[in-house]
Amino acid sequence: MCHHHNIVRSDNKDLQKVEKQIDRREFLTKTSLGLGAMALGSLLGTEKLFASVSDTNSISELNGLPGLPHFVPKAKRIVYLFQSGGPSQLETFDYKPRLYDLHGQDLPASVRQGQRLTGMSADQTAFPMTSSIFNFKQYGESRTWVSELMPYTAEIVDDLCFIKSMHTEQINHDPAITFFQTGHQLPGRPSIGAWLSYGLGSDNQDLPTFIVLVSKNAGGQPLYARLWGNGFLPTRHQGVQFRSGKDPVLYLNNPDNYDGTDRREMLDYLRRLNEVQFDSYGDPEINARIAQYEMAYRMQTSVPEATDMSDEPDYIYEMYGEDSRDPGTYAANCLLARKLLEKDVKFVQLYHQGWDQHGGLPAGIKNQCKNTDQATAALVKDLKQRGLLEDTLVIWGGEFGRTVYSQGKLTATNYGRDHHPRCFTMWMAGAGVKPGFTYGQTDDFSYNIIKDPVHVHDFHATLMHLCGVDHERLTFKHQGRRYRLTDVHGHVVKRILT
Amino acid sequence: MNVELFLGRFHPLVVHLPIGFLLLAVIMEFLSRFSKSKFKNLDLAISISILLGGIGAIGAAIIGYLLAGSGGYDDQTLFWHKWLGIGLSALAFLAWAMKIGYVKLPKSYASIMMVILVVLVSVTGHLGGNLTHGKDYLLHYAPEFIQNMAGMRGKDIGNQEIPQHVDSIVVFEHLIQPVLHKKCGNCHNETKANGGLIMTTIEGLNEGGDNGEVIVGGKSYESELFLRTTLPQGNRKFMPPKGEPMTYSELRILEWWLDNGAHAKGKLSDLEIPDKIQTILLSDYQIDTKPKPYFDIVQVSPVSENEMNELIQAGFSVSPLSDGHHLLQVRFDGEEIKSKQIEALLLAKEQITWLELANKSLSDEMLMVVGKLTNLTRLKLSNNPITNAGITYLEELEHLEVLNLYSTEVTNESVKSFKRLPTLKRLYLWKTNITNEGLESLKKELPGVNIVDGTKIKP
Repeated sequence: MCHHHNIVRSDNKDLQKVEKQIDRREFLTKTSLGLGAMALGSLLGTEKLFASVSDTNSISELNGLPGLPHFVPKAKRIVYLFQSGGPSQLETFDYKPRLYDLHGQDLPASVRQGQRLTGMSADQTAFPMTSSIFNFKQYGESRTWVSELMPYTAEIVDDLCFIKSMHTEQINHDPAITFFQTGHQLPGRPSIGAWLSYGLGSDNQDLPTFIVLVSKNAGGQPLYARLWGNGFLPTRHQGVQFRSGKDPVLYLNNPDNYDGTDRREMLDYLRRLNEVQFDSYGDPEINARIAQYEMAYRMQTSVPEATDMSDEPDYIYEMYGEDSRDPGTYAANCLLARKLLEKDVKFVQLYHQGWDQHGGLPAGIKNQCKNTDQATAALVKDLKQRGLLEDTLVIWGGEFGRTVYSQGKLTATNYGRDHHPRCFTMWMAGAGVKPGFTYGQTDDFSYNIIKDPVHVHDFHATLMHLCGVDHERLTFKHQGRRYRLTDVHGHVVKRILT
Repeated sequence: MNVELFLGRFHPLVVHLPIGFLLLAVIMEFLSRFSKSKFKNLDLAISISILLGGIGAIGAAIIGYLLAGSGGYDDQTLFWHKWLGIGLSALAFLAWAMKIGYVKLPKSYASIMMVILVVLVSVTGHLGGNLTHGKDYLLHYAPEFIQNMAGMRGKDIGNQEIPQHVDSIVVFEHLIQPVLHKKCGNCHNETKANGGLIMTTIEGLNEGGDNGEVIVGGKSYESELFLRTTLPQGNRKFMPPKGEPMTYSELRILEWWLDNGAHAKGKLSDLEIPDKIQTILLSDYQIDTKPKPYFDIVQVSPVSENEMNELIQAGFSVSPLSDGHHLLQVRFDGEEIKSKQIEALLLAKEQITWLELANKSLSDEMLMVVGKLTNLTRLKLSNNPITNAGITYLEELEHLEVLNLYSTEVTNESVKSFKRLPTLKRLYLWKTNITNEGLESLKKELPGVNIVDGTKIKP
């Protein structure tokens, strides 16, 4: 066997024991089992058989792939504020004054165009069109319409680039979120952050490349770890979720009465054992494990430093809102996101649930906006004043929009809206996108797109373009096929680029 | 009422009558030659057919002459069409005279006569078609090899491809001429110039039509071409009267070209392109006219591997802007930078274009080195104890676009230095000692620079 064994053998008696076990196992698998051994070998090394080989041998290098970025990037970092549940475009940014006259009238068949609805509202006897109960006003030099629910976002419209013509193919939460996060409605593909980590590597070796923060002050449709998963990419590209609480990462502190001095030594031995294992079986997961131990070790110092809120002055907390003093809330996560971006974490993804207002929409969305509006705007402002918006892309949006008709009974003060994949609004800000700009247009009912549609695949293509990646050229071979985030689709939306 | 034109427009209708009779006569003549026994009784029918053809030809020629009076036809084509038509009529009567025996000529002459008749009918008819529909009409949809044989390819302006390189795009030739050719060319071409106007060439446009000039350089709203195409579609004078009207984008580009002098050879890169036109060019023509970023223009040699390693040894992380790019982005990774380390930047004096030295206890003197990095475009110096004295070292950076000085100790004094930076686009000045008045006057004096302040901190 290879030289690693010799090093280990000469070092330590205990390790020699382990070494012997390995020899025995190897003896059994490689001689007596014959063909079975080959079968076993291929079982253990499946990823080596199916995956691109180039990636399996490097461990500690967190650099991206050779050849990337394909062109000069506009964005070096991304913070994606995912509003899970499907925020209503009609109550937030897609102002439809015509609906005041049409309020309560049945949705014309010419608008619905035979669209199949969800099981939740398909059986309704009437589909009364519902204008927003909230008032809209124009703000900023861009004269952008924003509802009264978003007073803080209204202040920064001149820094935002709205896309009013987003559309998706999925009408239910899980497939729609999975589609948005991975480019495919079925689980199993790598998420956006994993792709970027794989392609571009890290700018900070001491923190994960892709960090996920989920708000604690919101409930609703569940989120699954696979939304920030690595799919078939090497495991170390998956998003690392920080806890929504006082300690974002548990067990970083040394236990009482342990000073940590021999941990480095312990990890070095562990690493060598793992390398022996890797040499025998070639399983890239072993390398991923080595990398994770190393990352965890570095995070013992880097994470407490990056997540230390004590050095934030009061005016910053005031800017993000009082919630920001309560770790794990959306506001606190926004503030934490800024700190991580300052440390050059490439992709920070926030999730805030609870935008799924099938009924009781006015009260529900009011609460959602109250919990998120101020901190969202503060994050953009804070990034801007520090010069980080220069090369950081901020994204706000959910997985789909909501229907113009009321789900359930429409009353003077209450209504609901069902899922609507045909159009919804997102915004981006910062690196490489036009500030104070609105792209795309929906009809008078915010039901169909009448100008410049942007599909989820187009959104992904544009996002990658801003990071200097040609979405058609970042691929990974898996099960005999080359995969991309955008599958075989996607066009860069050039008109929103600066 | 215009009787001449009323009758004249029956020409295309009437003209098919003699064509039919004459061709029928020719067919019968040859049939009777090939099988004398079977078709021996055709002689009388042939002579009647030729006579009717001749009479029809004279009728068609007369009303054709009336139609020609309305004008708008290519002179040369019209001349040949007219005289060949008249000749054809005369020849038909001669053939008839031979047939019934008034004129005695050898029998073989009759065959020659018939062949000449067929050729004349074809040529005259084809010229007539060209006059009505334009000379490209017939073979417009023909397979490529036929068009090649007819010599049509190559000069077909309607299918002109837009060059890839923005610098090679001639506004009229590539953006306007193809549209005019497609939407106006059917009636205003070199063979059929309705209203005496040829719209497929710049010469034709400059010359104008029967009612005077159609383009006025610099004034789209005095140019007949722009006015007639932007009238309400129901208007009698709206152009084109049938077919697809010009689109919004086409009209905007036409307007912009006219307003800029309507130059025949004006290149896209020579003209100032407003945002609206930029957007149209990008979305409808896939032409990106945004000015190229500096990193795409400047040419530098790559740094050697040794120099690269020395930089990394000094504590910097170094990477090219993108794969294969020679310009570098550089960031200091340590906690605190030392003079010796910053000197290392001079190893890549020309290559460093993005530099991050935020929060590294940078001193004013160290900026002397930074000021020598000639191709620097983005410089991040935030959170350092640097003052105006340090900023003066940066005045030589003539390509600097983004300067981040947030949380430094610069004061209103530095405004002088900022004004010396010719390509500055964004300046970050939050948490500096620059006063509100200083910021206000800076914004006034540097209108092209986006000056970013931040949250006001309550004392």
